[in-house]
Amino acid sequence: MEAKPMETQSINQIMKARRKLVIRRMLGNHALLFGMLILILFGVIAIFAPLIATHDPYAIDATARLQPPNAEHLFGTDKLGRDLFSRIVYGTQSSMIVGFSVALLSSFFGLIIGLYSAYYQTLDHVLMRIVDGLMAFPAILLAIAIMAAMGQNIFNVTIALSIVMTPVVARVIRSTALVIKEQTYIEALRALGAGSLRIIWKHVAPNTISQLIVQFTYVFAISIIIEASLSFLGVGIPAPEPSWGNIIYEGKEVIYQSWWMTVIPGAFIVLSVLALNLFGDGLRDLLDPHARK
Amino acid sequence: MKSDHLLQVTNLKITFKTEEGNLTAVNGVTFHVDHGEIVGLVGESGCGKSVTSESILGLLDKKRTRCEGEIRYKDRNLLELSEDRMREIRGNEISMIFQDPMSSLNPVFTIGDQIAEAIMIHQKVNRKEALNRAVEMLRLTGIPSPETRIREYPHQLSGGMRQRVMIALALSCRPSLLIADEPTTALDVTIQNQILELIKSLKEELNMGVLLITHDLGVVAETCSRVLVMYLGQIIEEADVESLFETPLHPYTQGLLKSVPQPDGDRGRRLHVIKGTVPSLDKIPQGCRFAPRCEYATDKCRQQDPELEAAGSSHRVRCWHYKEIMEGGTGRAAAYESN
Repeated sequence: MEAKPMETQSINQIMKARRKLVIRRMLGNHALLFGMLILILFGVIAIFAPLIATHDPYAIDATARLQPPNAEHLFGTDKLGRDLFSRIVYGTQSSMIVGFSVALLSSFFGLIIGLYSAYYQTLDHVLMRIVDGLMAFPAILLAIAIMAAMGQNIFNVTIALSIVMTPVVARVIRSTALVIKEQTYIEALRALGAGSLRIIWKHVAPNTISQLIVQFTYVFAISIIIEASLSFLGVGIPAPEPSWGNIIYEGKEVIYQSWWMTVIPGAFIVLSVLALNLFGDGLRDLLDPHARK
Repeated sequence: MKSDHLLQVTNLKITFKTEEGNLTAVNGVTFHVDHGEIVGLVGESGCGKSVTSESILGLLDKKRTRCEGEIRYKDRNLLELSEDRMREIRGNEISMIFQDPMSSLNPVFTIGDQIAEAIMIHQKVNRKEALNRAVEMLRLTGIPSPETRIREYPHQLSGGMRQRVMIALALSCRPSLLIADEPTTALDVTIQNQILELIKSLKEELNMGVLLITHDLGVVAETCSRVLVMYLGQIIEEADVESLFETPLHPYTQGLLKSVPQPDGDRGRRLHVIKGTVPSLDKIPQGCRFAPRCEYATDKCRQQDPELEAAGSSHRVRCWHYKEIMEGGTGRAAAYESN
């Protein structure tokens, strides 16, 4: 019965083989890979913004207004002479921070609300009516209303978007949890004497994580778009703080002369959202046991 | 009133509250289980056997079901206990194993973790000790190399293995009573046999009482010492296993036994069928519940619901005319063709 060394050896081998299999599947999924690389790129830009930016994004230079992309100003300048490359780089930082924070907050609260709604019926009725109410509003209008009430800064943008996106996550988690709750192993756990708290957090929650991760990427993407839209409408991140949205806002009036002011930030938005969607799709394929090629 | 039985169920009545009114799924069921015996609870789907077993552990939704009567386990009425007390009993003194081993285990945890958790819920041991006990339980249920197996996930095991893990889970705290709800229905025949043998030997080793719920009469013949036959929420016959198979008294039991296909008999003969279908709970017939489908039914049967009466030392039956049926002509008394 002391066959320990040999058996530990085989356990380690099994686990190593398992890890290799997961990595191989991840690399084989091109959408996932592409999305992940772009996201890493954006993450690097956001984190190292001060090092990557060539100029101070707030520095006004009246002599260098509305320049097209050149050697000195890689993406040109805006009507105040500010370097667009640096502004867009710092805008990446804003968008990534807002997107990530909103995704994190709404996942956190959405998970709690979804789990408890699925488990307790009376709570479900109350919470889901509130959720339905919030979801009846178009996201941008709701965000604008909240921002109008709270004031305009990056912090409030994050809070407003979190309020808008939490119901979406809550609904998805709730429906996933409802299905899990009916599984035999949950009843078996009750038959073994497990209490509700243990069942909800130790057993139901882990089975919802794959859905949660996919929702996280989805919320991240939507937040980038909504934040950019809000800033474009002038009710998001306030000038002079750079954001992809408000650069496009400022570029609106000079769109015929300086089209790059609109197109380049727009391309960044498209690329980041595309990357997130691909990453989310790839993750879903990886995590969903039914979607195997 | 002190009772000697491990489990004594008296006049259990379970009612479901639905939009269409109250439906009584179990109506006045009385039986007992003792240490060291396997009692079979047989019946068709929908007769109330699963609901009965779930009510013993208090697993029914308290808002939508009402349980009346008494379920005495070691002199405590389980129906009167608080949820906290019940949780101490579940998995610890009374355990249950379920039908489908595929979905009875959490897919995201290793089986070692799950058994260890079951142990740690009830006993104050640390994780290492719990895992050691888990290995012991797996060994007890006949799983080879349990030390490696504890790191595996449910999807890596076959159906028979999963059912053994389920049994290990249920018995990890050495319960006195095991409720097995169709434990072998989802398994193929050779595995069925192994699992039943396992349950029998574990019953011996732990001196447990076992309530085995099944619709398979073969399983009953193999394992049980006593049998209860249920129909539409009532026990219609109760006997020790030999008496039930040799002299079934209730027409329903007789019909069930006659319906079993005989592999070595006249293959050209039509299978016996109990005519009609089980009525739904909102259309329970007046009088004897089996009367609409019974070939011996009389007016008395259709008007008055018979009581469960003794018909021998350990044989009870719910039928007005069982004596006449038994003594009747060869055409009717040959209720069970032995081979």
